[in-house]
Amino acid sequence: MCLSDAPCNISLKILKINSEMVTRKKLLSMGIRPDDSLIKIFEMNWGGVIVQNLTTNSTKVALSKSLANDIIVDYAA
Amino acid sequence: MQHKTIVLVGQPNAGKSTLFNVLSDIKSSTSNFAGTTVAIKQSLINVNFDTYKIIDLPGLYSLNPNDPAEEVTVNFLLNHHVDLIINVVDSTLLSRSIELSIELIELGIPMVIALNMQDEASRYGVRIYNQKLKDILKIPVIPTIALFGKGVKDLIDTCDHVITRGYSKPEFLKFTLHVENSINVIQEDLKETQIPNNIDSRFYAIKLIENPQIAFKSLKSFDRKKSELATQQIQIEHNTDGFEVIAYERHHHAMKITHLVSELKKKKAQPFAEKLDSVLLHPLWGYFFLLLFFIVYFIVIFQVGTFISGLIEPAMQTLPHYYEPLKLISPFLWYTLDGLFQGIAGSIGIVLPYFLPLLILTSLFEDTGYMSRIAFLLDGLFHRIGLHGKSVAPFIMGFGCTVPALYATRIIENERDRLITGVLINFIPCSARLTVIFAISSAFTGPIWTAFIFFFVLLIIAINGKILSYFFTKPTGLILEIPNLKLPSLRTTFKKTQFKVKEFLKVAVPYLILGSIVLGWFEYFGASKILNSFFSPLVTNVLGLPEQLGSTLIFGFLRKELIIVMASQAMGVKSFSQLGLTTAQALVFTIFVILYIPCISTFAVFWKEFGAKTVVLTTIFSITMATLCGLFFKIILNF
Ligand SMILES: Nc1nc2c(ncn2[C@@H]2O[C@H](COP(=O)(O)OP(=O)(O)OP(=O)(O)O)[C@@H](O)[C@H]2O)c(=O)[nH]1
Ligand SMILES: [Mg+2]
Repeated sequence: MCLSDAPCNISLKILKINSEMVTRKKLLSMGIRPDDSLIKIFEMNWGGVIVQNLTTNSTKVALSKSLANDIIVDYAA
Repeated sequence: MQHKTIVLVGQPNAGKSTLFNVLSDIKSSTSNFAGTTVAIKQSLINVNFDTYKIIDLPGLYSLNPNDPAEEVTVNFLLNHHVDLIINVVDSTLLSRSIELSIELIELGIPMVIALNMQDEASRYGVRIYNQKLKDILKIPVIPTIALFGKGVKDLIDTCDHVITRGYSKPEFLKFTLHVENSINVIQEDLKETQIPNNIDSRFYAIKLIENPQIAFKSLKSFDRKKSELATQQIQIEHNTDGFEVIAYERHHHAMKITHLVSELKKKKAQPFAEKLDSVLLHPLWGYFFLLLFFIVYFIVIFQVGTFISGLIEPAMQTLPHYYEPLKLISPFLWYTLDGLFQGIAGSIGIVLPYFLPLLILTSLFEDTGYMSRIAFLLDGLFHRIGLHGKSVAPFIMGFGCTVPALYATRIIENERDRLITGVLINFIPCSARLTVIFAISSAFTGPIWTAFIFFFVLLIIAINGKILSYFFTKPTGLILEIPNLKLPSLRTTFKKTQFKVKEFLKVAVPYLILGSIVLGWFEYFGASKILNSFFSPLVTNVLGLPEQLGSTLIFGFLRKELIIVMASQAMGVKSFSQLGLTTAQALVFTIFVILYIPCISTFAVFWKEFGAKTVVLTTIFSITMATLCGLFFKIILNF
């Protein structure tokens, strides 16, 4: 499922990021990368989300709806 | 003599500028927002009889720049001779930060790590073993709390020591074997290439795999074909491109190191800040709070400003009586003296009272970390007008001053978004224009109209954004760090305010005084009459304002505060409240002042950042906009 569809406050694992190269690089450098686990903390009505990388214990990151649609996740084991 | 150069490099919001401010007497702006510094700041410092040049750079997540601000830093590091890097690290974000540290080490420039935010780290229960980190990375590691100046002496002594002792290059961390092989092959090819400054060829070898464009920019004579084979090799072996391979390896190194050198003692929890966040970012309450926040913000400024200026104004009204007799004896002298007096009175009595509370509140607000939350909340709304949340921060800064706000657009990755934001920022009322709004509404219209004007201006911005974005493709998405909420420090607020007030007195007030004196002379020689009648078709016929205000609008191009500082002088009355404008006139005047061409400094910076064509078009656009809106209000209100 994509990050937009995933439920809040549950540990998720990033499988794939479908954004174009530039965006993927930016996400990567901010610590949002495949294989890491993350948690979706807030979701707005218009689709914006706030996530936090659990693997690196990083700060929260805000993402637009379009980005949340491009990030494919699954429930962490 | 060339001074040795020390640069502060680190991820956004790590505390570089705070550290820079402790070290130097020049002030670099700081705030709890990723992307505060967007241009280079430098200063000379003395350490144990040596003088160094110390440089504050914009924060960056990695040496693969994503936006113009990050580019500033990468370009600086690659194109200048740097003697030492202070890598400022937010201790609470060790893992992510070390990824950058590893990359910085690859540059081969002597480096010292400042493990900043020690206080925050211990609050979050993060414990870092400095010695272990030092042993692994083979570079000095100094714990600091930049906010309180703690550890800074130790840090700078270490830097001095490293530079004077002639320190060997840091030791590189090795990648996996086949990546290393490719690096070696390319490094061999690089042997005949001239590598600028003191950067290690290994850095460029890695960049040729990871992000060749960056390498090609510096290695002009390098034959691109040479590295292609090795790069392709990696892509074939890993089935993804070089960028991801290298990023992945650094990430794993960083995770391993973090695991070895740090320990999470308590569960990472800061209940109150988290609880607060669940209100501030709530899909419903978040917006409610935001609205409340803005209302309170402006009411406080309005009330405090009106109160202070009410205290000062009576004195300002009586003083001119003392030099009144001069008018008959030496009119020239009287006009000069009156200009001088009105300049001072306007600056101190009208502008400063509103400017001061604005500064204090803004400074408090900046340290909390609420800015990024607002950016997120408004992201959805901004998408509607063809922008995204990244534009929110420059917009909000625009309420202070348009110049830094224009620079702040450098954090926007996409050129299109940056341009639209830059154009729209000119319509945001800066502190100078806010003063005009507050002073006029306090004297003639009352606070309800102030709110109305704000709403109207925001509407204008939204409409224009919508129109502008028709000409471009759709915006990209928002990716923004949301730093932890912090209590603002009163000390920082006091210092920031003090600095800004000093700057206002030093930079703005002379302008305001000089402008008023020149206006006095204009009146003495009858030049303002000519100016006024030249503009009277616009000012009087179209906008329905007193003709004399024409010259103030011209002077307003120098600084917008001049408009109110000069208004009473131009109209020949003793104080601002005696101007005798009707409510309709006051509103039309305010709207026009907010929207018409920005001041000269904005003009210059806008030119520099966006090019001549954009400036000229925007200027024409804004004057047209201001005139149309003014006219619109005149017609509506006179019905
Ligand atoms: N608690 C704490 N706060 C700090 C410390 N150092 C800096 N800060 C705060 O952290 C925030 C960010 O500091 P800045 O100096 O603006 O960070 P920067 O690295 O220059 O950030 P950019 O310019 O955005 O790259 C500010 O609100 C500072 O007051 C510290 O040691 N402890
Ligand atoms: Mg900074």
